[in-house]
Amino acid sequence: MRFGTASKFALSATLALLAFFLPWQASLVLFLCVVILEIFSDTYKPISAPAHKAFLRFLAYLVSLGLFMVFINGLLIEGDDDACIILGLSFYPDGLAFGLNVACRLMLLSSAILLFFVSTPIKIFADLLGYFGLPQKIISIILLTTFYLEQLPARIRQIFWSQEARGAPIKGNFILRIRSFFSILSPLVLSSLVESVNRGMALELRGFRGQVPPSRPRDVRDFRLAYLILSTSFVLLLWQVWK
Amino acid sequence: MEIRLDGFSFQYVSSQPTVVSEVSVAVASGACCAILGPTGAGKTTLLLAISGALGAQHSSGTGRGEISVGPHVFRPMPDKVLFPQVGLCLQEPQIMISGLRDTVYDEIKFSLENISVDPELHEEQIVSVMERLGIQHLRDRKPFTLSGGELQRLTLATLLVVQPPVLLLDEPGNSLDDDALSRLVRILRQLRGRTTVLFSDNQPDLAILAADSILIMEDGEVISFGDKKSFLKNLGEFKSSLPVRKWQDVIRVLSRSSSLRAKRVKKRFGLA
Repeated sequence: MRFGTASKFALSATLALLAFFLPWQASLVLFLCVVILEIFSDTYKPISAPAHKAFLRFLAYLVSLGLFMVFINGLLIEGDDDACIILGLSFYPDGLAFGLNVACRLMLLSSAILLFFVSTPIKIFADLLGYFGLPQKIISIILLTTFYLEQLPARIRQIFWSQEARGAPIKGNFILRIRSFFSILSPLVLSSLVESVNRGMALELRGFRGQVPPSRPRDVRDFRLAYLILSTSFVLLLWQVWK
Repeated sequence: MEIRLDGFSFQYVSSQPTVVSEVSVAVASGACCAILGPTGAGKTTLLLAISGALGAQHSSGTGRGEISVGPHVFRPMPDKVLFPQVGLCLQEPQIMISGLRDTVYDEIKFSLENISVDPELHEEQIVSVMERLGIQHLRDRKPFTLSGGELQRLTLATLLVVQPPVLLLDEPGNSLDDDALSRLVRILRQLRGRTTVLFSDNQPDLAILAADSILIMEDGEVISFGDKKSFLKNLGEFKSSLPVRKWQDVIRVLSRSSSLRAKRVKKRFGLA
């Protein structure tokens, strides 16, 4: 079964929400589920190979950060129980448990959010926001910003090459790189300002005033499922608060 | 729709010189007029003023005179963009791409959405514009993966799809190879009688091939305005306004139609 965008969003939001109150064991299992979903499911298939690569790289950072948190907390937070000695270092069980809790929460929360964005083109996400009632002007700003960010690496590369061609010390030691940073930054800022003015004018010349009608939902059944998932997670949250 | 400018002048900043000075011209409805001149002659400013973008974007500038677009008279110029009555295609086609749509087809559709026309009802119109401009095979491509010439045609399509009575093109010949240029000439000829077209250029070949009248500008002032015949008759007078290198293009264009005339021009400029 392949979920639609709304259900995907609801499931990711639910996973992120669950990260706040589930014990670390459950969070860890769900984190592994997120990884499996990203790799094997059709619904959460990454939009591109670079997106998949970036996701895996992010997971690697996340796991390293998690391990570091467990290590530091286990080492520094003393509890009532006796410390256990591993490789000559004293680790406190309370500190380890706290570290595991925080690390697993963080891992589940961030991977669940990223899972949605890795598998959803930003324009489809914008459609969804429009359906949920976000004003079209704000959606346009989001889309134009992401469009600008997409163009940014190419622009930086271009400025980098032109500065290098002019003999600016782009490559070299740290101090040289810091100095050259300003020679890249000012053309980047200036060209961005000029382009944003021109692009605004071009959009106006095509009659755009942020009034594009919101997209119609593509699949109503998908929205029903999304609402069901979101309601369930809110019930779980309320139950947790009440408990 | 007729375009008329009466003593139109414009200054971006009061302390700086006038960019466009006392321009008075009239372009009949359905005619095609080329605005020629070197860089900095005021061609783009003139087109921006007619489209309304100048008034909307540079409200602090000082304008004089008046601009009429069809029955509407603006003193000194329109203060808001006149789309879809007037469509302006800027010099850099990549700037005209919205960045809000994923495919060439959707990018064209976007123009119809902006004027609240249901694009589903006008699919035929979109397809026909794509065919006219020879971009139907690019239908599902991402706009930013297109080449310069393809982008140029796409931006033209985004304007033509709304069928504006007035079409303004800022240096449309840039980044076009010979084939694309001939296609543009064909399109401009097809528009004759239906759409009033004004385009700027700094080389005369497109003007000679497609325009009915030619306006020559230098330093914001009109040097000459008249039909193509009078332009060709007085070629020598404009030698200082247009770079000599470009005269080779004039001769090349002329030699296509009349070798006798080409010989005469070559002799006159000492290029024979």
